[in-house]
Amino acid sequence: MTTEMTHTTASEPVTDRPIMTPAVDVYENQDELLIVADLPGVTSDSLSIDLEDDRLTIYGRRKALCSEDTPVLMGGGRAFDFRRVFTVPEAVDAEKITASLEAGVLQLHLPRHERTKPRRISIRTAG
Amino acid sequence: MWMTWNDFDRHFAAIDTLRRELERSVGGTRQSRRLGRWPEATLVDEGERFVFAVDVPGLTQDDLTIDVHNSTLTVAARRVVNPPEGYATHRSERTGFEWKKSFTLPAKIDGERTAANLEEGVLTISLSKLPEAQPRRISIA
Repeated sequence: MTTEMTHTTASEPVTDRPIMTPAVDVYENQDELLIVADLPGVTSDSLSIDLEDDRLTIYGRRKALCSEDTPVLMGGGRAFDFRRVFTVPEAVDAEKITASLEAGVLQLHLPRHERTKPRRISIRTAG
Repeated sequence: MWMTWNDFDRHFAAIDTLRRELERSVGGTRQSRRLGRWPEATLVDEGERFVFAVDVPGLTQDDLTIDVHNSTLTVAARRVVNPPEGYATHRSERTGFEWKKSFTLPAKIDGERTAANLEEGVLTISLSKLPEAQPRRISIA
């Protein structure tokens, strides 16, 4: 478990704030890549999506459920961060990436460049 | 309000039950332990009330049922995850789920003053304790 965590978060955070790996679905069709991530408790203000070269970082901050001195009977209730990094294929048009967040679920649309869209070549038959 | 040892014991027994519930619920397969753990539930004691919270990303109020009876809270949730039409699937870590869990709270609850709120995929339930279960400070005459 620990090694898996280290593997997914290559660098270590400075602050003592746990980092969770959100569950993610990745879909693709001819027009785009679609990333869907579960980010419960994350608002659009506390979510950042950054693309640097081909590294796409999804980073969501989540508030604590209660103040530090409130007795927790079960679970955590602590603040933590969601973080996930993807390597985006070159075919994605970075300018056209769009994102929406609803009910704690992020939908990230990564459209392909026009020129990389698959084309079917029609075959002309003689006669 | 002085606690007898018996009260003390009972209090912790309830917490143990809750903890067992939680551990059982997060058990599951290796995959679900590493990624989204369902349900990820939290219960805190704010003195006059308990606050219960559980992560239910993507759910609407129609997918949830909440019942309070005496000191038992029962929550049922259902999520169906379908790949969008016309897309090929590369990864599918977000699982559907259907669960119903009961939690025994360490004090009696006023069912009339229970409020639930669903925001950003987190269900929060505020459970007021009955007056006799509320903490009291005893002043020394």
